[in-house]
Amino acid sequence: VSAALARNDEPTSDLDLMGRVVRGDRSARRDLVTRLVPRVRRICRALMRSDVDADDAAQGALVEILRSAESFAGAGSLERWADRIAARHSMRLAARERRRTAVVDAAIDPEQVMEPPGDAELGEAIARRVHEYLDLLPQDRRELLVLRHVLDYSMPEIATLLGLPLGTVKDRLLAARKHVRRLLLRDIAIGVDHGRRA
Amino acid sequence: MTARRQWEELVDAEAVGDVLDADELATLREIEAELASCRIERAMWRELGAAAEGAAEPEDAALVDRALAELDAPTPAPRRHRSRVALASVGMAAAAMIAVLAWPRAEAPAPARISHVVGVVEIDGTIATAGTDLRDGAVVQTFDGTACLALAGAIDVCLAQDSRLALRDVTGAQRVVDLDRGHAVARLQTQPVGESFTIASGDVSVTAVGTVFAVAREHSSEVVASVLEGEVAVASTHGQQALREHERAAVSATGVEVRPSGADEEARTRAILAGERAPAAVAAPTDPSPQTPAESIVVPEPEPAPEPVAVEAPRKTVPTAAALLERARTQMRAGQRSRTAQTYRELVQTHPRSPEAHAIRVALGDLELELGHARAALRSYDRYLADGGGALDREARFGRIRAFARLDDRGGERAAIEAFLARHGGAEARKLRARLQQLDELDALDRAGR
Repeated sequence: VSAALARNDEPTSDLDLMGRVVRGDRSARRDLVTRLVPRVRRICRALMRSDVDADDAAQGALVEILRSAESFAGAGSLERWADRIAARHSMRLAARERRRTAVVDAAIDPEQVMEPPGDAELGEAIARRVHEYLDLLPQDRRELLVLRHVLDYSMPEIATLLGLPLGTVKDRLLAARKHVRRLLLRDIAIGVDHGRRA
Repeated sequence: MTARRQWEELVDAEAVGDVLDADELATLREIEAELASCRIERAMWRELGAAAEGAAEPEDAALVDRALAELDAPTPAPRRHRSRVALASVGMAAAAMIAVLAWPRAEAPAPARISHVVGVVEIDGTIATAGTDLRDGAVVQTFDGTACLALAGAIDVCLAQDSRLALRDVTGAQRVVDLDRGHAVARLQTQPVGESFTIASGDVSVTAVGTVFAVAREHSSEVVASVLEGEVAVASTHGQQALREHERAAVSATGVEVRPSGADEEARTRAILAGERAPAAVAAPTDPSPQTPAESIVVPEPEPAPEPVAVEAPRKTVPTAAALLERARTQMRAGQRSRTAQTYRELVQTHPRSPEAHAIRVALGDLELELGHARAALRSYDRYLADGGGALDREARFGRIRAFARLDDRGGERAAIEAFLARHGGAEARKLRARLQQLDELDALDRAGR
């Protein structure tokens, strides 16, 4: 932050804000956290299975953001910078949580994708909120979908973040999408088979 | 290749970063114009893309306070970690309830501290903030706010609006708090030998013994205790009553009546535990008398909701299975997972032999798992298979494995995996065999640790 401020004649308000956070300005800390909390919380919710875990993750991520303020260089948006911290923090927590059931969850594989039902009389509504589909996924698939579709990271960015080959990331993202698709089609099928048609 | 498959290939290619040409984009549009399932899926991906967007929520302020308190705290401020242990609540007045639950967290230097505050809350007449230490004798009073307390012994107590809790003894091994009015929820880990945690309310005391239970006082002379998981001890002028999972005991001047516990108070208690504002029943007491009785609840985290057996009053009209399914679907669209599960449960209870009931049992099992109700999920999967199964056999058997895993029941999980492998192959088989090996290793580690 200090270096960025030094080379900027007209520092952005974000850099100003982060500079004050680094100097221990309590008001700036509160301003920063208040600004970021809705987005950080949503990212954590997207990545974690329960609201309690998500709140824990969000709290920890906000603390990490405050403690990392010095590293904000102003190259991108403050939100984008904070997104990465929140995502990394949540994924670390999730990794601890999932050890017990990782093998089982990873074994869930949508081999048998249902055929979609006849289309003519389908409603247009999504059966569940998208978070609920995320909740049904193994954590690694969930994380890939969030990184790609919620945080809009490029495939190379995800590969770097996860330390995986690009091809592996693509394969896994496709598997994750296939999994969600299967769940969605199953919901649609249940609706059509049981009273959905007028 | 069907149009649907062609559409999937194109949208998936786009998702992994491929750039579609004009013809491919036109094809996508044509297929979407034709197929509702593609339009629905497209809408879902769009909704996912917007998942990080949105306005601030009321709970955000509390999160800001906790994060800032943690930054300033010499030791990490307690967070709301999960445990599989105990949850309890006790409350006063028709609107008054308490609940107790326990979770693991960092040790606090004082025997108790405020870990979470929303709105106006006072400690001994002074406005409370997160991180404030509490000692024996302290009185915490919520007005339009809510608060959570972290007690030594890994005990957390959350108060709903309009509650008053006095810390009688939180320093010794037998910790006792008095709920004068309101609603509190507590969660605690299994206490070491010789230690206990009690919520007292008038003449009734509820002592958690490392389990999950609820106690409620619904009339001026009645306290009702219910257990969601494990066992609690309810002491009154009639003696001591042990209460087990999904039981509910009404303690009145005439005696103690035990019956199955209901789901409503669980929902209320969960709301308090989740840090939500007080539920309507607390905010608007049905009995305005100052002598209104207390309600105390101890609930599991996450707790399996009991099947709706013999709790609900007889219905004048029973909705059809199709109507219930429609209601569930509407609730699901609105993101009301608990209500959806409740409607599913109502469906399988009121129309147990209907095709709808059979078809949704696996979906209900999945939903129960999502909600943390592993035992209920297991029952649902089992029932589906016992009734002859069908197209979702594979999912039901896989659901059983996941349910046992969530329950930490290695024997059950092992048997469920073996049952799955005996009937289904596929990509899961290798991973499930690895899981079997992992279970053996965990067992060996346990034996070595003894």
